Amino acid sequence: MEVLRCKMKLAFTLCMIITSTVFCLAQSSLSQKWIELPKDKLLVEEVLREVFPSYKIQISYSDNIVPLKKTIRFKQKINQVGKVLDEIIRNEDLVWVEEDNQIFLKFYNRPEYEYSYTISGKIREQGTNEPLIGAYILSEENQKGAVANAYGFYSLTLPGGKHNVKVNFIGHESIEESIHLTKNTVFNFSLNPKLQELLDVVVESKSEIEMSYQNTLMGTNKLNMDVVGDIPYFLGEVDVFQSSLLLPGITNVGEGTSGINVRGGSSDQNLILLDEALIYNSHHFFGLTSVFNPDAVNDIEIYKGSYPVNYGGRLSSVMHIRHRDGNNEKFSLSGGLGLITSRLLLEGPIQKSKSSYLISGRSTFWDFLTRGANNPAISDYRANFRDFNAKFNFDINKNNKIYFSGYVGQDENKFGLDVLRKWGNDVFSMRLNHIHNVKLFSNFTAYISNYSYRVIEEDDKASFVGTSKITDYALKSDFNYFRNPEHIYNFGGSVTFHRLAPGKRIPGVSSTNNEVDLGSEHAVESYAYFSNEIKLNPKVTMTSGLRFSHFSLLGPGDVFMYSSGTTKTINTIVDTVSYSSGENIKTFFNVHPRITLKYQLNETSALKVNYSSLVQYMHRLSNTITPSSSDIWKASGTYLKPSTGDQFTVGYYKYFKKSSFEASAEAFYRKNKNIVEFKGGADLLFNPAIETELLSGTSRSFGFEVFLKKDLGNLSGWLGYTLSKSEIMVDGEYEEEKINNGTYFPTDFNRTHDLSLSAIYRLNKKWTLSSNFVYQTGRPFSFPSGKYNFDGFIVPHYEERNRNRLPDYHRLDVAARLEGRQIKKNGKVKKTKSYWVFSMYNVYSRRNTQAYLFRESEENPEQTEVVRYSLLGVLVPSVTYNFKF
Amino acid sequence: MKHYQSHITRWKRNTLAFCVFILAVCCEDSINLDLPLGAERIVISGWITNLEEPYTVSVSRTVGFNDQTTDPGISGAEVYVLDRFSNRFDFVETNESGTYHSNASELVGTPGNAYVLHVNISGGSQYASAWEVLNAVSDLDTVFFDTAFDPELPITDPNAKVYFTKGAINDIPNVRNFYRWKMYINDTLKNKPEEIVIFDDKFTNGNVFETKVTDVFLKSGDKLKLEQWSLSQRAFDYYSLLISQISSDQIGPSTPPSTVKGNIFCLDDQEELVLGYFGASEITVKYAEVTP
Repeated sequence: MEVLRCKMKLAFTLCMIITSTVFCLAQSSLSQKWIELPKDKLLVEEVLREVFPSYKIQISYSDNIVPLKKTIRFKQKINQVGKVLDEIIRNEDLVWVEEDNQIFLKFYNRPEYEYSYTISGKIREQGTNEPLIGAYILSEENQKGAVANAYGFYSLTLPGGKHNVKVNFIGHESIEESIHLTKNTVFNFSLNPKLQELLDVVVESKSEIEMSYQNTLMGTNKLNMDVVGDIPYFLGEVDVFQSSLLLPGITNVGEGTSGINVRGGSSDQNLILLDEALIYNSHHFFGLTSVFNPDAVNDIEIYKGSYPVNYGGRLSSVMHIRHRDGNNEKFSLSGGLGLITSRLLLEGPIQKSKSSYLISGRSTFWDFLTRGANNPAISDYRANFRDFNAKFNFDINKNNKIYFSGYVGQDENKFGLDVLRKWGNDVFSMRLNHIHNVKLFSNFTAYISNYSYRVIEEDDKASFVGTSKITDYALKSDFNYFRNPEHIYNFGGSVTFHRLAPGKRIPGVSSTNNEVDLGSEHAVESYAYFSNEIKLNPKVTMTSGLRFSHFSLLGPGDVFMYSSGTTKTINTIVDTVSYSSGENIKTFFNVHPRITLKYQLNETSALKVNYSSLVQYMHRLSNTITPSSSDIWKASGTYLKPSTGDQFTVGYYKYFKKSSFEASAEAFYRKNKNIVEFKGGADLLFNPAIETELLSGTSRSFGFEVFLKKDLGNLSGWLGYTLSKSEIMVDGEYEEEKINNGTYFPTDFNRTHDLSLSAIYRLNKKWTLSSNFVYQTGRPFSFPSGKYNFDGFIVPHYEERNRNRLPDYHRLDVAARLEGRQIKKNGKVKKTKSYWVFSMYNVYSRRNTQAYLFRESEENPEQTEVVRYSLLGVLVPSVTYNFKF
Repeated sequence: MKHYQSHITRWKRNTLAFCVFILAVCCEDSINLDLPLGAERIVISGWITNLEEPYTVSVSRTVGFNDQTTDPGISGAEVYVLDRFSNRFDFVETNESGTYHSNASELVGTPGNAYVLHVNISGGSQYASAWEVLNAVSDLDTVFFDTAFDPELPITDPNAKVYFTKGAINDIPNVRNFYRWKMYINDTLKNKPEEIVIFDDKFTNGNVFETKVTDVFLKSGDKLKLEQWSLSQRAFDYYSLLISQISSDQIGPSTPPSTVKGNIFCLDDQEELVLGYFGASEITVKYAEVTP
């Protein structure tokens, strides 16, 4: 309650700040007077001759100089008189003065620079027309600028007159344009991608102004696909998630495991979005690769510090992956062959320059090799995955654009006499971009995201098909209002309907199994947000926002009542409350203030502080150390409370102009409450009273991250270092509800030191060399405090969890990229571009410890042994071939 | 069927298969690791069944994991079992220290009866189990064998056949039933962690259903003795947790390590952690021989 009160207070203060920045104070009494307008759209004539007289406001003016027929649109009906007058004189040769309780509208020879006009439009890549997300436009005259949003839209309001505008985007040639602003103008810019040869000659550097226009958010990483594609990977498999592990603050439990952990958060606390749509399971194939096909990716945004207010629903991080739209100028085909996957991507215009498509597919082929084996024990093995993306977009007219996207992915495995398992995501979305006017941009999204997991047992009498599923139906809208370079407003909202079907088993024809169906769970999650980015003065920028969220668990459903004074078990159920369809079972409301202050110390450095408040209503139930594809999701309700989190971050950011290095140092503290944990041996499968297996914990993490990055020049790459600690405490009321006696203990992914260095060097036009080095403290591990014999088994006895550690982890990888021949023997330029990537993972064959196994000795079952298990103990070479027509 | 193992052994196999097939690079080696020595705990275990034979209760202590000496059984304890009708059955220590036997002519478990174990350690504390009901076991209808191709034999040998066991169980309707299978092949109990077979009737209640054991392979000519035990829910949960802890599988999505708590308590100090389990079960036995 105390916390909620605190949050409400903070929310109220923020509200006040936002409001006070929106409304400027007028100078004197008459102009400060509040009046109510009859309509929000009025002629100047109506204001002067009807509204003002009705409030007994005396005003003197000459009909010759006042534009009586001009229409003014007011944002609200209640306004101060001064505000109304400001609207009347905007962009007119007029001025208003207040003297002796009377207002005079006078002629004023307004110079051109006092007029303000907006240039707006889209910034795209020349040749493909892909939006350049985060490209920026600057007026060199008055040093004001704007950044293109996720759809390439920008809006920059400038004084009238001549401007030299410069448009920049990394890896692209800048454009300089001289414009004379006399009215609101639409300007679309197309930037040429920089040819690699040119990189030898030009050493780029960002301007100071550009630095100051970098957004205020903290703990943000934008991965550049050009860079991501060039670093070495395990088996040459380029992957967004694997590359994100090289950033500070992001770790995982070990090689060959699914799930990534950001700043001490569990892996279900990451909000993973593909083109605005939420993805429930973002891994394929033992966590080796993510569901995002690297060929189709345009932009990767990772937020681990300050979360933009439009994102929420998860506690730990936001990873928004945006796919490319597809080239709307010409057709192209690209793809690659690798040891794990092979890929193909087609893109091209549907109607040139107006609409395009992008279709891509990936699949593993290696288990086709085993299918040929004579021994069915091997040929029956399945371990494969495939995914398919299709995206279409159409420019309806200059203000409207529509997108249709689809993703279908499936993993499959079967080992020996085991069951066949299949799982995957299906996501379909429709988006509409609408430009309301030169300053207001909006995007509307409707999507369906489904994750399903299936188990198929074909053995005659035991046959069955088991499924679990989660489906989201969501609608959302996001608005960006670029009032002027000093004020940017973002607002929007969303409603999502969750349908969870945690378990259903249908027996086969001759099966002796019973049909079991746990039914489905329904919930509605919604939010609304508003944020304001304001330049308070040339040095201080503030981004503040509020997010209101709501979650309702709805019937039909049964809620068990448990006897009080004891831990919940199926034996302590005393009653069942049944809810009918659509009936409200439990509702939660939350308010989340978020605020970031940026102080520009000088032209190249800045300080930032941030506070973010978060909530998570959907929980993944996984009683294993790393997530499994069979994990089910559960909505917050009567017993499972929403998880809440607070994060504070302080950071220092510096740009070294000469060497074009970007550096940052951030310190963070994060505390999360109501984190789901599990009783020892929890049975989560087909359990209608799942709350009897759940525990609730509090986690806290703090750390310090250093990041040094160089995007430009022949040598590029980054260095990331994190010093951190993350812990969890599970201290329930009863003995069965405690872990480690209710004290804080390290999380499975708490690595004290985490260092990664990635470097890419363009040796010449043909060769690019790259390398990664990773060093991490070994992850927390549990050593047995003893052993005993039970029923002939030797049982390692554990009293405490995660009080020990594995040895430190380190690894070096190298890769070389060889560009294919670009000139034919007859001297003509080849149409096909191709390149080879040769990589060596774990160059010095480090045998990193994945786990210790405490077990009976294989030679002598009477004795026990400690076995060190390493997933990789040798150098792993690989080669991939990539092409583009 | 062994749904409780869903992501333990399977994921191990996945990971191994993944290694073996793609890379053949994962490796294991036995090492010396300094392990902390925790507090000594009392371990008590024993079963009452319907078989007319002496039942065993063992009383011992935990030792350090690296300690390779034999289990130090606790001698001289007073061990007895009470049944629902307050009959007391004393256990007598055998030549093996810490091992106590009942008198087979006095105590034979009967389905429906409930039992509680008491152990008073001389010069130590008094311990007791929770009450365990000896549940009736469902009929083991038939036992037969199916063939599989041995994954451990060379890929090139198409005839590398092995046998695995299947059984049809006539499940008792209207109650939750929990089972354990103990398999003796040529008179040797299969007792490796991956050879523990437990299952329940969660999805087959009241039906004649089949279960199969895919982790124990037999050869032609092998003789099988199969014991089907009835477990209480508590014993089943205990075994599930035990399996997750002794499968020594920290690869892939594995269960976090935890204390395997049983149903034994210290009467003098409620806070004292006591390990082990005292259970009661009806056993039905079937014999079969693998014929080609």
